[in-house]
Amino acid sequence: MSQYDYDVVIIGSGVGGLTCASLLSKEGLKVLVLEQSHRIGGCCSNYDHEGFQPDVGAIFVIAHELYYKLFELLDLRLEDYLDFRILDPVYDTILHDGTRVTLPQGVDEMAEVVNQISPQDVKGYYEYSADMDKLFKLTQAAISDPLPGLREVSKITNLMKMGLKKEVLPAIRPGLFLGTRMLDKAVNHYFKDDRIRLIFGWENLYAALPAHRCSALYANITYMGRIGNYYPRGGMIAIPKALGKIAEMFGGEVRFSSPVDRILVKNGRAQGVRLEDGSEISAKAVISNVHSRYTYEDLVGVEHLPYAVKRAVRNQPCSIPAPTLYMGLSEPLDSVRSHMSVILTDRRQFDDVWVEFYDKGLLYRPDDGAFLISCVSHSDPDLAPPGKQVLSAIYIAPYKLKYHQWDDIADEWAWECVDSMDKRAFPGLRSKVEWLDSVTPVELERRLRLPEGAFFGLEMSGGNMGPFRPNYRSRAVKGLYLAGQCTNPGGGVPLVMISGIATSSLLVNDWPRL
Amino acid sequence: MSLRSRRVEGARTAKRGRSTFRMLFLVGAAALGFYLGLNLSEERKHRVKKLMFEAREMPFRLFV
Repeated sequence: MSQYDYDVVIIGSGVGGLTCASLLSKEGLKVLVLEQSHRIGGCCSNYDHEGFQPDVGAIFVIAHELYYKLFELLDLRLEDYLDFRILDPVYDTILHDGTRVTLPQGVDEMAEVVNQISPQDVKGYYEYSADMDKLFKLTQAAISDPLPGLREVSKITNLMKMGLKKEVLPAIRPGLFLGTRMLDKAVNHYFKDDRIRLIFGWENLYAALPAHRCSALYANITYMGRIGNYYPRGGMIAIPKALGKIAEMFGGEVRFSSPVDRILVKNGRAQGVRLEDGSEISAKAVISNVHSRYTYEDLVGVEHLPYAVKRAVRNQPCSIPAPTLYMGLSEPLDSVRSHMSVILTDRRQFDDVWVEFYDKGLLYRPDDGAFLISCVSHSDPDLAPPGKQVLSAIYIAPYKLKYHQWDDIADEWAWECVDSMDKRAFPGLRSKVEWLDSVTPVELERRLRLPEGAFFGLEMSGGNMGPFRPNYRSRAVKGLYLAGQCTNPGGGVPLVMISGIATSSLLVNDWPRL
Repeated sequence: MSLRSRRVEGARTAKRGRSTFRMLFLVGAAALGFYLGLNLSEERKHRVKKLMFEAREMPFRLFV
Protein backbone atom coordinates (compact mmCIF):
# COMPACT_ATOMS: atom_id res chain seq x y z
CA MET A 1 0.00 0.00 0.00
CA SER A 2 1.25 3.50 -0.89
CA GLN A 3 2.67 5.63 1.92
CA TYR A 4 0.89 8.63 0.38
CA ASP A 5 -2.80 9.61 0.50
CA TYR A 6 -2.72 10.44 -3.22
CA ASP A 7 -0.22 10.02 -6.05
CA VAL A 8 -0.73 13.58 -7.26
CA VAL A 9 -2.39 16.60 -5.63
CA ILE A 10 -3.32 19.41 -8.01
CA ILE A 11 -3.84 22.90 -6.61
CA GLY A 12 -6.49 24.78 -8.58
CA SER A 13 -9.24 23.55 -10.86
CA GLY A 14 -8.40 25.78 -13.81
CA VAL A 15 -8.12 24.35 -17.29
CA GLY A 16 -4.40 23.58 -16.78
CA GLY A 17 -5.03 21.68 -13.55
CA LEU A 18 -8.00 19.77 -14.92
CA THR A 19 -6.10 18.84 -18.09
CA CYS A 20 -3.45 17.31 -15.83
CA ALA A 21 -6.12 15.66 -13.68
CA SER A 22 -7.87 14.00 -16.61
CA LEU A 23 -4.66 12.83 -18.31
CA LEU A 24 -2.99 11.56 -15.13
CA SER A 25 -6.16 9.81 -13.91
CA LYS A 26 -6.34 8.06 -17.26
CA GLU A 27 -2.73 6.90 -16.70
CA GLY A 28 -3.97 5.19 -13.54
CA LEU A 29 -2.62 7.65 -10.96
CA LYS A 30 -4.67 8.55 -7.89
CA VAL A 31 -5.34 12.25 -8.38
CA LEU A 32 -6.96 14.88 -6.16
CA VAL A 33 -7.80 18.40 -7.37
CA LEU A 34 -8.20 21.04 -4.66
CA GLU A 35 -10.24 24.11 -5.56
CA GLN A 36 -10.42 27.06 -3.16
CA SER A 37 -13.83 28.30 -4.34
CA HIS A 38 -17.13 26.49 -4.73
CA ARG A 39 -17.03 26.74 -8.53
CA ILE A 40 -14.91 24.85 -11.01
CA GLY A 41 -12.71 26.51 -13.62
CA GLY A 42 -10.61 29.26 -11.96
CA CYS A 43 -10.05 31.78 -14.75
CA CYS A 44 -12.36 29.89 -17.12
CA SER A 45 -15.51 29.88 -15.05
CA ASN A 46 -18.67 31.93 -14.58
CA TYR A 47 -20.80 33.67 -11.98
CA ASP A 48 -24.39 32.84 -11.32
CA HIS A 49 -26.41 35.76 -9.97
CA GLU A 50 -30.10 34.88 -10.01
CA GLY A 51 -29.80 33.30 -13.45
CA PHE A 52 -27.38 35.83 -14.93
CA GLN A 53 -24.33 33.74 -15.83
CA PRO A 54 -21.53 35.83 -17.34
CA ASP A 55 -18.12 34.26 -17.97
CA VAL A 56 -15.25 34.91 -15.61
CA GLY A 57 -11.97 35.33 -17.45
CA ALA A 58 -11.92 33.45 -20.74
CA ILE A 59 -14.73 34.63 -22.98
CA PHE A 60 -14.39 32.59 -26.18
CA VAL A 61 -12.47 29.73 -27.72
CA ILE A 62 -9.72 30.28 -30.24
CA ALA A 63 -7.75 27.52 -32.04
CA HIS A 64 -10.42 25.00 -31.12
CA GLU A 65 -8.54 22.30 -33.07
CA LEU A 66 -6.21 22.01 -30.06
CA TYR A 67 -9.10 20.80 -27.89
CA TYR A 68 -9.54 17.88 -30.26
CA LYS A 69 -5.88 16.94 -29.66
CA LEU A 70 -6.47 16.77 -25.92
CA PHE A 71 -9.48 14.53 -26.41
CA GLU A 72 -7.38 12.40 -28.76
CA LEU A 73 -4.91 11.85 -25.90
CA LEU A 74 -7.83 10.91 -23.67
CA ASP A 75 -9.18 8.46 -26.29
CA LEU A 76 -12.53 10.28 -26.16
CA ARG A 77 -14.71 12.17 -28.63
CA LEU A 78 -14.91 15.91 -27.98
CA GLU A 79 -18.46 16.05 -29.38
CA ASP A 80 -19.64 13.81 -26.54
CA TYR A 81 -18.62 16.44 -23.98
CA LEU A 82 -18.60 19.86 -25.63
CA ASP A 83 -20.80 21.60 -28.16
CA PHE A 84 -18.75 24.35 -29.85
CA ARG A 85 -20.59 26.91 -31.97
CA ILE A 86 -18.86 29.38 -34.24
CA LEU A 87 -19.25 33.08 -33.46
CA ASP A 88 -20.30 34.91 -36.58
CA PRO A 89 -20.02 37.91 -36.72
CA VAL A 90 -16.69 37.93 -34.91
CA TYR A 91 -16.93 41.42 -33.46
CA ASP A 92 -19.18 44.42 -33.51
CA THR A 93 -16.57 47.18 -33.59
CA ILE A 94 -17.37 50.73 -32.55
CA LEU A 95 -14.66 53.26 -33.40
CA HIS A 96 -14.05 56.66 -31.81
CA ASP A 97 -15.47 58.57 -34.78
CA GLY A 98 -18.78 56.74 -34.56
CA THR A 99 -17.96 54.23 -37.32
CA ARG A 100 -19.63 50.97 -36.41
CA VAL A 101 -18.74 47.83 -38.33
CA THR A 102 -19.68 44.25 -37.80
CA LEU A 103 -16.64 42.16 -38.61
CA PRO A 104 -17.60 39.00 -40.46
CA GLN A 105 -15.85 35.68 -40.25
CA GLY A 106 -14.59 35.03 -43.82
CA VAL A 107 -11.52 36.62 -45.43
CA ASP A 108 -13.35 37.96 -48.52
CA GLU A 109 -16.26 39.23 -46.47
CA MET A 110 -13.78 41.03 -44.22
CA ALA A 111 -12.08 42.55 -47.30
CA GLU A 112 -15.43 44.13 -48.20
CA VAL A 113 -15.57 45.76 -44.77
CA VAL A 114 -12.01 47.04 -45.17
CA ASN A 115 -13.01 48.40 -48.59
CA GLN A 116 -15.91 50.36 -47.04
CA ILE A 117 -13.62 52.04 -44.49
CA SER A 118 -10.41 52.45 -46.46
CA PRO A 119 -10.23 51.15 -50.07
CA GLN A 120 -6.46 51.73 -50.18
CA ASP A 121 -6.00 49.05 -47.50
CA VAL A 122 -7.69 46.17 -49.34
CA LYS A 123 -4.43 45.17 -51.06
CA GLY A 124 -2.62 45.26 -47.69
CA TYR A 125 -5.39 43.19 -46.14
CA TYR A 126 -4.98 40.42 -48.73
CA GLU A 127 -1.19 40.54 -48.25
CA TYR A 128 -1.73 40.29 -44.49
CA SER A 129 -4.16 37.39 -44.92
CA ALA A 130 -1.80 35.54 -47.27
CA ASP A 131 1.11 35.85 -44.81
CA MET A 132 -1.02 34.81 -41.84
CA ASP A 133 -2.47 31.93 -43.77
CA LYS A 134 1.03 30.51 -44.32
CA LEU A 135 1.68 30.55 -40.58
CA PHE A 136 -1.78 29.24 -39.81
CA LYS A 137 -1.31 26.34 -42.24
CA LEU A 138 1.97 25.48 -40.56
CA THR A 139 0.31 25.26 -37.13
CA GLN A 140 -2.51 23.22 -38.68
CA ALA A 141 0.03 20.84 -40.26
CA ALA A 142 1.96 20.56 -36.99
CA ILE A 143 -1.10 19.21 -35.21
CA SER A 144 -2.53 17.24 -38.12
CA ASP A 145 -0.81 13.92 -37.36
CA PRO A 146 -2.22 11.72 -34.62
CA LEU A 147 -0.43 12.38 -31.34
CA PRO A 148 1.71 9.64 -29.82
CA GLY A 149 0.92 8.61 -26.24
CA LEU A 150 1.20 10.98 -23.29
CA ARG A 151 4.74 9.77 -22.50
CA GLU A 152 6.08 10.59 -25.96
CA VAL A 153 4.23 13.83 -26.59
CA SER A 154 6.78 16.10 -24.85
CA LYS A 155 9.85 14.35 -26.23
CA ILE A 156 12.09 16.40 -28.48
CA THR A 157 11.84 13.87 -31.33
CA ASN A 158 8.06 14.24 -31.37
CA LEU A 159 8.25 18.03 -31.23
CA MET A 160 10.71 17.99 -34.17
CA LYS A 161 8.46 15.66 -36.10
CA MET A 162 5.54 18.03 -35.52
CA GLY A 163 7.58 21.00 -36.77
CA LEU A 164 9.21 19.40 -39.81
CA LYS A 165 6.47 19.78 -42.37
CA LYS A 166 6.49 20.95 -45.96
CA GLU A 167 4.48 23.98 -44.83
CA VAL A 168 7.60 25.28 -43.07
CA LEU A 169 9.20 26.68 -46.24
CA PRO A 170 6.44 29.13 -47.23
CA ALA A 171 6.09 30.18 -43.57
CA ILE A 172 9.76 31.17 -43.20
CA ARG A 173 9.49 34.65 -44.75
CA PRO A 174 6.36 35.82 -42.86
CA GLY A 175 7.65 34.06 -39.75
CA LEU A 176 10.94 35.97 -39.87
CA PHE A 177 9.17 39.22 -40.70
CA LEU A 178 6.77 38.93 -37.78
CA GLY A 179 9.20 37.29 -35.37
CA THR A 180 11.59 40.24 -35.59
CA ARG A 181 9.02 43.00 -35.17
CA MET A 182 6.57 44.31 -32.65
CA LEU A 183 2.82 44.20 -33.38
CA ASP A 184 2.41 47.95 -33.97
CA LYS A 185 5.19 47.99 -36.61
CA ALA A 186 3.80 44.93 -38.40
CA VAL A 187 0.26 46.33 -38.49
CA ASN A 188 1.63 49.64 -39.82
CA HIS A 189 3.40 47.70 -42.58
CA TYR A 190 0.20 46.12 -43.89
CA PHE A 191 -2.28 48.95 -43.35
CA LYS A 192 -2.26 52.72 -43.92
CA ASP A 193 -5.52 53.93 -42.37
CA ASP A 194 -5.43 54.39 -38.58
CA ARG A 195 -8.94 52.97 -38.17
CA ILE A 196 -7.99 49.77 -39.99
CA ARG A 197 -4.71 49.63 -38.07
CA LEU A 198 -6.69 49.74 -34.85
CA ILE A 199 -9.19 47.10 -36.00
CA PHE A 200 -6.26 44.73 -36.67
CA GLY A 201 -4.04 45.92 -33.86
CA TRP A 202 -6.03 46.00 -30.63
CA GLU A 203 -5.96 42.28 -29.93
CA ASN A 204 -2.58 42.68 -28.24
CA LEU A 205 -4.87 43.00 -25.23
CA TYR A 206 -5.17 39.22 -25.34
CA ALA A 207 -1.40 39.06 -24.79
CA ALA A 208 -1.85 41.63 -22.02
CA LEU A 209 0.84 43.87 -23.47
CA PRO A 210 0.95 47.21 -25.24
CA ALA A 211 1.39 46.82 -29.02
CA HIS A 212 4.95 48.20 -28.89
CA ARG A 213 6.03 45.36 -26.56
CA CYS A 214 3.96 42.57 -28.08
CA SER A 215 5.51 40.26 -30.68
CA ALA A 216 4.04 40.67 -34.15
CA LEU A 217 3.46 36.91 -34.16
CA TYR A 218 0.30 37.75 -32.20
CA ALA A 219 -1.09 39.11 -35.45
CA ASN A 220 -1.76 35.45 -36.24
CA ILE A 221 -4.16 35.29 -33.29
CA THR A 222 -6.09 38.17 -34.84
CA TYR A 223 -6.20 36.25 -38.12
CA MET A 224 -7.34 33.05 -36.42
CA GLY A 225 -10.18 35.09 -34.96
CA ARG A 226 -11.22 36.03 -38.48
CA ILE A 227 -11.14 32.32 -39.41
CA GLY A 228 -13.38 31.49 -36.51
CA ASN A 229 -13.90 32.03 -32.79
CA TYR A 230 -16.03 29.48 -31.01
CA TYR A 231 -18.18 29.38 -27.91
CA PRO A 232 -19.26 26.27 -26.03
CA ARG A 233 -22.91 25.69 -25.20
CA GLY A 234 -23.43 26.38 -21.50
CA GLY A 235 -20.71 29.06 -21.38
CA MET A 236 -16.94 28.82 -20.96
CA ILE A 237 -17.44 26.91 -17.71
CA ALA A 238 -18.56 23.97 -19.90
CA ILE A 239 -14.87 23.30 -20.68
CA PRO A 240 -13.63 22.80 -17.09
CA LYS A 241 -16.88 21.00 -16.26
CA ALA A 242 -16.20 18.53 -19.09
CA LEU A 243 -12.59 18.02 -17.99
CA GLY A 244 -13.65 17.57 -14.35
CA LYS A 245 -16.22 14.99 -15.41
CA ILE A 246 -13.59 13.11 -17.43
CA ALA A 247 -11.10 13.17 -14.52
CA GLU A 248 -13.80 11.74 -12.22
CA MET A 249 -14.72 9.13 -14.81
CA PHE A 250 -11.09 7.91 -14.73
CA GLY A 251 -11.10 7.81 -10.92
CA GLY A 252 -9.84 11.33 -10.10
CA GLU A 253 -11.41 13.48 -7.39
CA VAL A 254 -12.25 17.21 -7.39
CA ARG A 255 -12.77 18.83 -3.98
CA PHE A 256 -14.31 22.31 -3.72
CA SER A 257 -14.01 24.98 -0.98
CA SER A 258 -10.61 23.53 -0.05
CA PRO A 259 -8.07 26.35 -0.08
CA VAL A 260 -4.45 25.22 0.25
CA ASP A 261 -2.38 26.97 2.90
CA ARG A 262 1.06 25.44 2.25
CA ILE A 263 2.85 22.97 0.04
CA LEU A 264 4.66 20.67 2.48
CA VAL A 265 8.37 20.66 1.65
CA LYS A 266 10.84 18.38 3.40
CA ASN A 267 14.52 18.14 2.41
CA GLY A 268 13.84 20.14 -0.74
CA ARG A 269 11.07 17.81 -1.84
CA ALA A 270 7.31 18.41 -2.07
CA GLN A 271 5.49 15.90 0.16
CA GLY A 272 1.89 17.05 -0.08
CA VAL A 273 -0.20 20.01 1.01
CA ARG A 274 -1.73 21.53 4.15
CA LEU A 275 -5.21 22.99 3.80
CA GLU A 276 -6.37 26.19 5.49
CA ASP A 277 -8.44 24.09 7.92
CA GLY A 278 -5.16 22.52 9.14
CA SER A 279 -5.60 19.07 7.62
CA GLU A 280 -2.68 17.62 5.69
CA ILE A 281 -2.79 15.54 2.51
CA SER A 282 0.34 13.68 1.48
CA ALA A 283 1.22 13.07 -2.16
CA LYS A 284 4.15 11.87 -4.16
CA ALA A 285 3.91 14.87 -6.50
CA VAL A 286 2.20 18.25 -6.33
CA ILE A 287 1.06 20.21 -9.37
CA SER A 288 0.35 23.89 -8.86
CA ASN A 289 -2.06 25.44 -11.31
CA VAL A 290 -1.98 28.79 -9.52
CA HIS A 291 0.22 31.83 -10.19
CA SER A 292 3.96 31.04 -9.95
CA ARG A 293 4.59 33.91 -7.50
CA TYR A 294 1.81 32.72 -5.22
CA THR A 295 3.06 29.13 -5.56
CA TYR A 296 6.64 29.89 -4.57
CA GLU A 297 6.26 32.78 -2.12
CA ASP A 298 3.06 31.81 -0.29
CA LEU A 299 2.61 28.07 -0.74
CA VAL A 300 6.21 26.80 -0.81
CA GLY A 301 7.63 29.61 1.36
CA VAL A 302 10.71 31.70 0.64
CA GLU A 303 12.70 29.79 3.27
CA HIS A 304 12.83 26.82 0.88
CA LEU A 305 14.07 28.85 -2.08
CA PRO A 306 17.61 29.67 -3.15
CA TYR A 307 18.46 33.35 -3.72
CA ALA A 308 18.18 33.23 -7.54
CA VAL A 309 14.67 31.72 -7.43
CA LYS A 310 13.49 34.13 -4.73
CA ARG A 311 14.71 37.08 -6.77
CA ALA A 312 13.30 35.82 -10.07
CA VAL A 313 9.90 35.04 -8.59
CA ARG A 314 9.62 38.44 -6.88
CA ASN A 315 10.74 40.48 -9.88
CA GLN A 316 9.04 38.67 -12.73
CA PRO A 317 6.43 41.13 -14.04
CA CYS A 318 2.78 40.18 -13.91
CA SER A 319 0.49 40.72 -16.86
CA ILE A 320 -2.22 43.36 -16.81
CA PRO A 321 -5.32 42.67 -14.75
CA ALA A 322 -8.61 42.24 -16.57
CA PRO A 323 -11.04 44.21 -14.41
CA THR A 324 -14.58 43.51 -15.53
CA LEU A 325 -18.07 44.92 -15.08
CA TYR A 326 -20.86 42.35 -14.99
CA MET A 327 -24.30 43.61 -15.91
CA GLY A 328 -27.66 41.93 -15.76
CA LEU A 329 -30.21 43.76 -17.93
CA SER A 330 -33.96 43.80 -17.35
CA GLU A 331 -34.56 43.37 -21.08
CA PRO A 332 -32.38 42.75 -24.15
CA LEU A 333 -30.83 45.72 -25.93
CA ASP A 334 -31.31 45.80 -29.70
CA SER A 335 -27.99 47.58 -30.05
CA VAL A 336 -26.12 44.47 -28.90
CA ARG A 337 -25.57 42.93 -32.33
CA SER A 338 -22.96 40.30 -31.66
CA HIS A 339 -21.62 37.99 -28.95
CA MET A 340 -18.50 40.15 -28.81
CA SER A 341 -18.39 43.93 -29.16
CA VAL A 342 -15.42 46.20 -28.85
CA ILE A 343 -15.53 49.94 -28.22
CA LEU A 344 -12.27 51.59 -29.26
CA THR A 345 -10.72 55.01 -28.90
CA ASP A 346 -8.56 56.58 -31.58
CA ARG A 347 -5.29 54.77 -32.17
CA ARG A 348 -2.95 57.25 -30.50
CA GLN A 349 -5.15 57.41 -27.42
CA PHE A 350 -5.36 53.62 -27.34
CA ASP A 351 -1.55 53.36 -27.29
CA ASP A 352 -1.20 56.29 -24.88
CA VAL A 353 -3.30 54.52 -22.25
CA TRP A 354 -0.31 52.31 -21.49
CA VAL A 355 2.23 55.10 -21.14
CA GLU A 356 0.17 58.02 -19.91
CA PHE A 357 -2.09 56.15 -17.51
CA TYR A 358 -1.38 52.48 -16.94
CA ASP A 359 2.34 52.71 -16.10
CA LYS A 360 1.76 55.74 -13.87
CA GLY A 361 -1.11 54.15 -11.94
CA LEU A 362 -3.64 56.68 -13.21
CA LEU A 363 -7.24 56.16 -14.21
CA TYR A 364 -8.44 57.71 -17.44
CA ARG A 365 -11.96 58.94 -18.11
CA PRO A 366 -14.05 55.96 -19.26
CA ASP A 367 -14.84 57.93 -22.46
CA ASP A 368 -11.13 57.75 -23.32
CA GLY A 369 -10.88 54.01 -22.74
CA ALA A 370 -11.60 50.84 -24.69
CA PHE A 371 -14.07 48.13 -23.65
CA LEU A 372 -14.33 44.53 -24.76
CA ILE A 373 -17.93 43.49 -24.22
CA SER A 374 -19.21 39.96 -24.23
CA CYS A 375 -22.89 39.10 -24.34
CA VAL A 376 -23.11 35.38 -23.58
CA SER A 377 -26.90 35.33 -23.75
CA HIS A 378 -26.64 36.46 -27.39
CA SER A 379 -25.23 33.01 -28.28
CA ASP A 380 -26.83 31.00 -25.52
CA PRO A 381 -30.09 32.49 -24.16
CA ASP A 382 -30.03 29.98 -21.27
CA LEU A 383 -27.24 32.03 -19.68
CA ALA A 384 -29.66 34.80 -18.66
CA PRO A 385 -33.15 34.63 -17.10
CA PRO A 386 -35.97 34.50 -19.71
CA GLY A 387 -36.47 37.86 -21.44
CA LYS A 388 -33.30 39.33 -19.92
CA GLN A 389 -29.71 39.85 -21.08
CA VAL A 390 -26.29 39.61 -19.48
CA LEU A 391 -23.19 41.59 -20.45
CA SER A 392 -19.61 41.67 -19.23
CA ALA A 393 -17.23 44.50 -20.11
CA ILE A 394 -13.46 44.10 -19.75
CA TYR A 395 -11.25 47.22 -19.65
CA ILE A 396 -7.63 48.16 -18.92
CA ALA A 397 -6.76 49.62 -15.54
CA PRO A 398 -3.73 49.45 -13.28
CA TYR A 399 -3.65 47.34 -10.14
CA LYS A 400 -2.19 50.07 -7.96
CA LEU A 401 -3.77 53.48 -8.28
CA LYS A 402 -1.63 56.49 -7.50
CA TYR A 403 -4.33 58.69 -5.96
CA HIS A 404 -7.17 56.30 -5.04
CA GLN A 405 -8.04 52.98 -3.47
CA TRP A 406 -10.01 50.67 -5.75
CA ASP A 407 -12.46 49.74 -3.00
CA ASP A 408 -13.39 53.40 -2.50
CA ILE A 409 -14.11 54.18 -6.13
CA ALA A 410 -15.32 50.83 -7.52
CA ASP A 411 -19.03 51.72 -7.68
CA GLU A 412 -18.62 55.27 -8.91
CA TRP A 413 -16.15 54.12 -11.61
CA ALA A 414 -18.47 51.28 -12.63
CA TRP A 415 -21.41 53.60 -13.23
CA GLU A 416 -19.20 56.05 -15.14
CA CYS A 417 -18.19 53.14 -17.38
CA VAL A 418 -21.85 52.16 -17.86
CA ASP A 419 -22.66 55.76 -18.86
CA SER A 420 -19.78 55.77 -21.32
CA MET A 421 -20.93 52.53 -22.97
CA ASP A 422 -24.50 53.87 -23.00
CA LYS A 423 -23.31 56.98 -24.83
CA ARG A 424 -20.91 55.31 -27.26
CA ALA A 425 -22.59 52.04 -28.23
CA PHE A 426 -25.65 50.91 -26.32
CA PRO A 427 -28.26 53.66 -25.84
CA GLY A 428 -30.56 52.96 -22.91
CA LEU A 429 -28.06 50.66 -21.20
CA ARG A 430 -28.03 52.47 -17.84
CA SER A 431 -31.78 52.37 -17.38
CA LYS A 432 -31.88 48.62 -18.01
CA VAL A 433 -29.12 47.58 -15.59
CA GLU A 434 -30.77 45.65 -12.73
CA TRP A 435 -27.58 43.98 -11.45
CA LEU A 436 -24.06 45.45 -11.56
CA ASP A 437 -20.95 43.82 -10.17
CA SER A 438 -17.68 45.71 -10.48
CA VAL A 439 -14.71 43.35 -10.25
CA THR A 440 -11.71 45.66 -9.88
CA PRO A 441 -8.09 44.42 -10.09
CA VAL A 442 -7.99 44.24 -6.30
CA GLU A 443 -11.24 42.28 -6.17
CA LEU A 444 -9.90 39.97 -8.85
CA GLU A 445 -6.89 39.27 -6.64
CA ARG A 446 -9.17 38.46 -3.70
CA ARG A 447 -11.59 36.25 -5.59
CA LEU A 448 -9.14 34.28 -7.72
CA ARG A 449 -5.92 34.62 -5.70
CA LEU A 450 -4.16 36.19 -8.63
CA PRO A 451 -1.24 38.38 -7.52
CA GLU A 452 -1.90 41.95 -8.77
CA GLY A 453 -5.10 40.62 -10.38
CA ALA A 454 -2.87 39.34 -13.20
CA PHE A 455 -5.30 37.52 -15.36
CA PHE A 456 -2.78 36.18 -17.85
CA GLY A 457 -0.29 35.16 -15.17
CA LEU A 458 3.12 36.48 -16.04
CA GLU A 459 3.71 39.03 -18.74
CA MET A 460 4.11 37.42 -22.16
CA SER A 461 7.02 39.55 -23.37
CA GLY A 462 10.26 38.10 -24.77
CA GLY A 463 12.07 38.19 -21.42
CA ASN A 464 9.35 36.10 -19.80
CA MET A 465 8.87 33.41 -22.39
CA GLY A 466 10.67 30.18 -23.27
CA PRO A 467 13.47 29.37 -20.83
CA PHE A 468 12.72 32.56 -18.86
CA ARG A 469 9.19 31.45 -17.90
CA PRO A 470 8.82 29.14 -14.87
CA ASN A 471 9.60 25.56 -15.74
CA TYR A 472 6.91 22.85 -15.81
CA ARG A 473 9.14 20.81 -13.52
CA SER A 474 10.24 23.04 -10.64
CA ARG A 475 14.01 23.50 -10.50
CA ALA A 476 13.86 24.57 -6.86
CA VAL A 477 11.61 21.92 -5.28
CA LYS A 478 11.70 18.26 -6.29
CA GLY A 479 8.30 16.69 -6.87
CA LEU A 480 6.68 20.08 -7.55
CA TYR A 481 5.28 20.75 -11.02
CA LEU A 482 3.62 23.83 -12.46
CA ALA A 483 0.87 24.16 -15.05
CA GLY A 484 -1.22 27.08 -16.25
CA GLN A 485 -0.77 30.57 -17.53
CA CYS A 486 2.55 31.23 -15.74
CA THR A 487 4.28 28.43 -17.64
CA ASN A 488 4.93 28.17 -21.37
CA PRO A 489 3.31 28.89 -23.78
CA GLY A 490 1.38 31.45 -21.67
CA GLY A 491 -2.13 32.69 -20.89
CA GLY A 492 -5.29 31.80 -22.81
CA VAL A 493 -7.36 28.64 -22.63
CA PRO A 494 -5.75 26.57 -25.43
CA LEU A 495 -2.26 27.58 -24.31
CA VAL A 496 -2.98 26.65 -20.72
CA MET A 497 -4.27 23.31 -21.96
CA ILE A 498 -0.96 22.74 -23.80
CA SER A 499 0.90 23.46 -20.57
CA GLY A 500 -1.28 20.87 -18.81
CA ILE A 501 -0.41 18.26 -21.45
CA ALA A 502 3.33 19.08 -21.21
CA THR A 503 3.34 18.95 -17.38
CA SER A 504 1.46 15.64 -17.34
CA SER A 505 3.83 14.15 -19.91
CA LEU A 506 6.90 15.19 -17.91
CA LEU A 507 5.43 13.89 -14.67
CA VAL A 508 4.51 10.53 -16.18
CA ASN A 509 8.06 10.17 -17.50
CA ASP A 510 9.53 11.21 -14.13
CA TRP A 511 7.19 8.94 -12.16
CA PRO A 512 9.52 5.89 -11.74
CA ARG A 513 12.29 8.18 -10.42
CA LEU A 514 10.13 10.24 -8.05
CA MET B 1 69.91 55.05 -28.72
CA SER B 2 70.31 51.73 -30.49
CA LEU B 3 68.06 50.64 -33.32
CA ARG B 4 66.53 47.98 -31.08
CA SER B 5 65.66 50.44 -28.29
CA ARG B 6 64.21 52.84 -30.86
CA ARG B 7 61.97 50.03 -32.18
CA VAL B 8 60.86 49.12 -28.67
CA GLU B 9 60.16 52.79 -27.89
CA GLY B 10 58.22 53.13 -31.18
CA ALA B 11 56.09 50.09 -30.39
CA ARG B 12 55.37 51.47 -26.93
CA THR B 13 54.31 54.85 -28.36
CA ALA B 14 52.01 53.15 -30.88
CA LYS B 15 50.48 51.01 -28.13
CA ARG B 16 49.94 54.09 -25.95
CA GLY B 17 48.36 55.84 -28.94
CA ARG B 18 45.99 52.94 -29.52
CA SER B 19 44.92 52.78 -25.89
CA THR B 20 44.43 56.57 -25.82
CA PHE B 21 42.30 56.30 -28.95
CA ARG B 22 40.32 53.45 -27.39
CA MET B 23 39.77 55.50 -24.23
CA LEU B 24 38.71 58.54 -26.27
CA PHE B 25 36.29 56.37 -28.22
CA LEU B 26 34.76 54.98 -25.03
CA VAL B 27 34.45 58.42 -23.42
CA GLY B 28 32.94 59.77 -26.66
CA ALA B 29 30.44 56.90 -26.86
CA ALA B 30 29.51 57.37 -23.19
CA ALA B 31 29.05 61.12 -23.72
CA LEU B 32 26.95 60.52 -26.83
CA GLY B 33 24.86 57.91 -24.97
CA PHE B 34 24.37 60.33 -22.07
CA TYR B 35 23.39 63.13 -24.47
CA LEU B 36 20.92 60.90 -26.34
CA GLY B 37 19.58 59.61 -23.04
CA LEU B 38 18.92 63.15 -21.86
CA ASN B 39 17.07 63.94 -25.06
CA LEU B 40 14.84 60.88 -25.00
CA SER B 41 11.16 61.41 -24.49
CA GLU B 42 9.75 60.24 -21.18
CA GLU B 43 8.07 57.31 -22.93
CA ARG B 44 11.36 56.21 -24.55
CA LYS B 45 13.20 56.54 -21.23
CA HIS B 46 10.59 54.33 -19.63
CA ARG B 47 10.97 51.71 -22.35
CA VAL B 48 14.79 51.73 -22.06
CA LYS B 49 14.57 51.43 -18.26
CA LYS B 50 12.18 48.51 -18.58
CA LEU B 51 14.45 46.76 -21.10
CA MET B 52 17.48 47.24 -18.85
CA PHE B 53 15.56 45.84 -15.89
CA GLU B 54 14.50 42.82 -17.92
CA ALA B 55 18.06 42.21 -19.17
CA ARG B 56 19.35 42.29 -15.57
CA GLU B 57 16.70 39.92 -14.24
CA MET B 58 16.51 37.40 -17.08
CA PRO B 59 19.46 35.22 -15.99
CA PHE B 60 17.81 34.57 -12.59
CA ARG B 61 14.62 33.33 -14.30
CA LEU B 62 16.50 30.35 -15.69
CA PHE B 63 16.58 28.84 -12.19
CA VAL B 64 12.83 28.77 -11.54
